[in-house]
Amino acid sequence: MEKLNFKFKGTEQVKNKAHVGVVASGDLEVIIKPTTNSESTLNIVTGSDGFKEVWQSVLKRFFDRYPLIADFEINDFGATPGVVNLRLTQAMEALEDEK
Amino acid sequence: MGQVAVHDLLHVKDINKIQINGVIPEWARDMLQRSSYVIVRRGDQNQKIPVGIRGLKKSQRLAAWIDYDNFDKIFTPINAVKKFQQNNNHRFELPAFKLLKKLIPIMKNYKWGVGGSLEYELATGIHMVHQTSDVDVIMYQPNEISRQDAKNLIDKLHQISIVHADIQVVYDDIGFSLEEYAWGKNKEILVKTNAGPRLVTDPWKID
Repeated sequence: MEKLNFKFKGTEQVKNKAHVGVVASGDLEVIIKPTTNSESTLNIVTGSDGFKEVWQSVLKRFFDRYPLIADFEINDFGATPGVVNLRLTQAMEALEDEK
Repeated sequence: MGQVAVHDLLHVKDINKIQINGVIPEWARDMLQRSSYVIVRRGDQNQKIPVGIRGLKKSQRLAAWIDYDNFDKIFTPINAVKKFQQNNNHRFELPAFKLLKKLIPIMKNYKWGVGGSLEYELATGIHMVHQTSDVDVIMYQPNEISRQDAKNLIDKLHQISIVHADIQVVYDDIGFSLEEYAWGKNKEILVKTNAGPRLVTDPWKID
């Protein structure tokens, strides 16, 4: 198990909470919460060690597209980058639905 | 072709013909010498079978490919449960095996099996299951079940869980979480296909 932390700059403060995904092998949970910080903080707990660079590139692609400012909590159970990306997109859509 | 399904274990005839990107790590070579089983993973099955090699540590997973003529046995999640029911050994005292035993009456109306470390240990005899290993239930369910039935099943699963367990529904090349379907709290749910993951509104009706 490995704990990873990332920070990303953004422009859009998130106002709602979102929780998507499941605790299951090859999947992950993404929890998004509003923050008073001026950038996004991501705390990731992953069962698959040694993938920091892969996370960095998947997250960078996401924040390039959606410059959100929020606190992210991610619990990963060995999801592929494709699944991670789709769960982030789904979390993003869940935020939109709350509006 | 589709002769093999994701989560099936394949017994490789010639481990030297397994294809990987780059150089094979030592742990993977060691594992293959102990047991020639690889696990079918999601991906394009047209020319070759995408498989995974697993090591003793959770971080030891390696993507590989084998040719269709390079395996001689298939061990499925269903075979794993059958083997478990027909045998008994001291390893079955581990929490994950105990949970598997409790699952049998709960899942009796469904076609199901077990994947992950339990399946691998049952196939190979290699001690892959640990104190905290989880239980990956594979439910073969081509026909829709109601959200209520799904919820009832998830509730029962949670009642008996001594370690984490989850149910993945599979049919054709589709796989999704029964729990996510049961909750239905997001508009769409994530399904895994051989062409990658997708978000869909109805996991049993996919274009």
